[in-house]
Amino acid sequence: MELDIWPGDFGLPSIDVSCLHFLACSKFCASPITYVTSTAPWNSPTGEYPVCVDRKGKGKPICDFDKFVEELRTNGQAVVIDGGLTPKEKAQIDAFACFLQQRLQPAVNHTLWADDLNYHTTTHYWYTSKLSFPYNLYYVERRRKRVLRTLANKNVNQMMLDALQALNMLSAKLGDNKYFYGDKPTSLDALVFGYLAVLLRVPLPNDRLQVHLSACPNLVRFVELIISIYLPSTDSKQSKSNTFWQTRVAKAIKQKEASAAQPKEEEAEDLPIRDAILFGLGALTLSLIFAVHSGIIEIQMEEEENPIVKD
Amino acid sequence: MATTSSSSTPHRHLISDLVASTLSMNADSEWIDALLFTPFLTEQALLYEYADCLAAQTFFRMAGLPYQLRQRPNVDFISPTGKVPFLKLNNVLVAEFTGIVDFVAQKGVKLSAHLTEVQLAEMMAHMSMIDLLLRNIEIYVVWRHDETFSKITSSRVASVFHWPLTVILPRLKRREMIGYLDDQDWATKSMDEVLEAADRAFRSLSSQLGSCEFLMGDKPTEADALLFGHLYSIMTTQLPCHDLQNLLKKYNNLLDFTTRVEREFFKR
Amino acid sequence: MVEKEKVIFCLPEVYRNDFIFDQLIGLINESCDCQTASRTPTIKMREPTKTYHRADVLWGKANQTPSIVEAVQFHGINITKNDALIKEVAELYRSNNLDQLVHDSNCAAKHLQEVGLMENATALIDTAQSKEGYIVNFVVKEPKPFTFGVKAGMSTQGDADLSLNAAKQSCFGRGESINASYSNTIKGDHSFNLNFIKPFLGWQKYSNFTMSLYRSMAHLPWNQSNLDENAVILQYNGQLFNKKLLHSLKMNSIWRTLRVTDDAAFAVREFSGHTMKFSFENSVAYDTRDRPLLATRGLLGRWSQEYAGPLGDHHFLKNQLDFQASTLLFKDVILALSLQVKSVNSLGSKELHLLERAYLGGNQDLRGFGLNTVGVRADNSCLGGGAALAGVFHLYKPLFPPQMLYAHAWIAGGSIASVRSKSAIKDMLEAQRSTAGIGLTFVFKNIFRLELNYVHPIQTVPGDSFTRGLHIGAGVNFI
Repeated sequence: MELDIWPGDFGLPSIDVSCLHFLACSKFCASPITYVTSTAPWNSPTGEYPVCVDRKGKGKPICDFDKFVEELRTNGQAVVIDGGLTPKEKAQIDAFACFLQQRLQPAVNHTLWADDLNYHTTTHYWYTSKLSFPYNLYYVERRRKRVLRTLANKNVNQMMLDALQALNMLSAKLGDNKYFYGDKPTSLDALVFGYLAVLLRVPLPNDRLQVHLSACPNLVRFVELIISIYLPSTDSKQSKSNTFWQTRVAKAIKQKEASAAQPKEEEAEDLPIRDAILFGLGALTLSLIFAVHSGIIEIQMEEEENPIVKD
Repeated sequence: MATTSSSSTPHRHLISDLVASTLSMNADSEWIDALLFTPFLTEQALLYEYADCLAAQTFFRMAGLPYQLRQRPNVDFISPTGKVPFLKLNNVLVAEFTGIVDFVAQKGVKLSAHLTEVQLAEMMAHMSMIDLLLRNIEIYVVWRHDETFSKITSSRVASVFHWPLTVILPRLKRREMIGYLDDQDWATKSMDEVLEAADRAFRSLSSQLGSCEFLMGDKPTEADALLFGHLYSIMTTQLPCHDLQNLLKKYNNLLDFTTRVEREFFKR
Repeated sequence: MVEKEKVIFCLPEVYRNDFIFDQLIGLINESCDCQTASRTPTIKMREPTKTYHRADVLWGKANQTPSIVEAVQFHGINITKNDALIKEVAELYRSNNLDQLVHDSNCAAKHLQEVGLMENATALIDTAQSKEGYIVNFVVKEPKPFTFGVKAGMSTQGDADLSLNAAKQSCFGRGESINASYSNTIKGDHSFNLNFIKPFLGWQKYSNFTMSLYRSMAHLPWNQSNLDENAVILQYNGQLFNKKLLHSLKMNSIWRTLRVTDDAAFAVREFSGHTMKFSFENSVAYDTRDRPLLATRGLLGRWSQEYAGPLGDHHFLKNQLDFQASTLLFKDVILALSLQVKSVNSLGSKELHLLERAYLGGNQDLRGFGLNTVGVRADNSCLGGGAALAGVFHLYKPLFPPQMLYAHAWIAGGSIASVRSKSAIKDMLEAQRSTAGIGLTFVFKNIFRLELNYVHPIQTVPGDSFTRGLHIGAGVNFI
């Protein structure tokens, strides 16, 4: 089996939330899947990564997390994921998976794709630099549109509030434990890890969620632990690219503060009466010029009216 | 109104600011003349809309808050978020079940006040499950399932319009809802996959309920209101495909829960 | 009556031509050399050389000269159908003296252009072989077979749009025209308009049948909402009572979607959503004004009714009465009075829909008030009323260029009664508004009118959105 994922950066094995879900889950059960970092998402049936392909067998490619977990469970891996859980715990895992999807996913998507500053500083730049022109433009635009569609009816503040509450609840639920259920990681740990790792590691200028997440030490420890045990970084160029991104983000923050300061100064002065007069005169002049030009008004000189004579 | 504009949110908002900015300013008004606006429940409301309207009513009954029901054909346009139902308290409009629950909580009425933080997280998780998974299943059945659409959905949507809108609007709405399902990666699912997901949801809810009276023990919570709304709607709505009802019938404790809540809050 | 350049007459004494026409109407299909007849007075006919004179050489002197029209010929016909031309000129054969013939030929030429059959038409009257015989030649230019245009611009809501339009005049050879336009904005809204006009041909007949199909989007700031419309409209325009009254009949079927913005009051929200409107309109008008946008003299009286009945969501009866009178005072000062009365009554049990109510205010009627903002308000939204009355008293003094720019002084008054009002007249008497002002008015042909006014309040009601100062109004429907 082969798992195609987006390449990693910022000390993460992949930059994409769903890819991290798949990756963490398969690492938890020590599955012999080969990981392929790829930048050709058009090969996937949904046009997105991750996708798990069985090159030898005839099975369909898997893009759905639940199906992927099912596949890992049934295909006799060394460790059966979610194996030692009671039915009630399994039921809770299903519920929390929905909880994350409803409360955390919109905010994470908004932070990465819908927030203009973050999008232009980081997300757009990262994806376009990995993909080749002109497909990159099409891809980011399509993906952004899709995210914007799913967020269309949501109030941003409410969404952020939900996400912050969700982080608090996850923090309370985790407590001082190593993982959410027992001392072995479950599929829920993979899901939580996916969202939190991206929030924690990807450098963003608008970092409301990041700041809040850093204030939950047990969640931060949880992410670091999973990275260090299951997904150790092998990237040697880390520090160099880190400084690049840091300066980029710092610049964006500066810009934002500058633009936030500006509009207050400009507000006061507007002169409706002067503008109205100027507009009125302008419209009149233009109409007159047009009328004269197109011959609707003729400035007539006296003309002799000759009889019509031919030859 | 709960929808505040969000164009210029200053940097580094923490949770306290957000709470202040979205809800507290609406919370001062007293609980007088609360009106719950819904579509015409018997002729117009679709499965999931009916479920949400019923859930909101159940919540008010559980919390002992008086309300009056107002049925309008264009509730989806009146509602600030485009979703049904919505609550009107004086000049404040609050839409959707979760919005109403949050709003009422701001006024100090909370059904789940007795829960610990971990229990609260579990309750929220199950509410998410109902709100997201179960609703998507219902939307799928109502709009994507061809027979249900042609026999039930289109005529219910058309019931409040005149020709030729009776022909145009169900189709437009269907296209919109299938677009929504597509964005959720649900449009390409087969009916079997959807039923599998439904089974998972019912199983999860059933094992959370166990042999208790309510989801979180012996006291009703917001999650119970939502659960009742959806289960009752699924059980009582006549659809061409009975698979969803048949699935639910396997879980006796859920059925008992439904009859219990109905008896306790609606037939007294 | 007769325009100098249009009718060109070949004096019988100068030359006796020797054409032989054995047809009643000869259609000459090849384009002859006389296509540009309207501007250049010199006309070259095919065969023998002739001298033509303007009709005013004998206009008014020949009402005793008997004439018999032997033939009517058209030069420059490609697509126009034979039967259409016969209907247009058959009347010429009835003329029995030369003066009448000259007059009728000119009327025919003018009518050909006005109904859209021809872009240009000039009548040439030629002598025929018989003693009293004449031949009428029409040198015509047919409209372009097809026009196409592209335009990019900014809409009033600050959205950029691109529009395409295409038109075909006289598309089936009987004066029918089709206009189509489509526009698309950056935000993704698209609107279109498809218009079909079929004139009824005949001697001096000004009546037509119009069908339009359109989709439009509009922002209604007074209601804080947006309106999408998809409509099919059938209309008949004609004349009544020996062409003294203008008459129009209209059938509207409109699918409307009202979408409110976040600021809209609940009273507006309640009306949002999809509605279907089926209505019939009937309007009768008496119009002797010389210019519709700013008449120097003349009267207009118009009464229109709209009934929305058993089909659709709306049930109401709407009445509107317009009266305008203008006259010249002293040498060139124009005195004008306009009056408009509207009333709407709901026929069903439901409250009258927001979009059907009578509105008042704006720079085209009660100047100085925000557009459609007079009357009952809820929060920032204006809810309109059930009856409205507005009157304006104007004085105009032409400046340079005359016929275009005027100094303007006016007093406007108006009142509105709420939808629920028990006694509309009493309510209207209680809440009168009036303003006065001076300014400049600019009129551009019959296309649009622009007003720049300094407005001063005389009578306002607390809560009105009135601003003293300069106001600009542009449009066509000024009262």
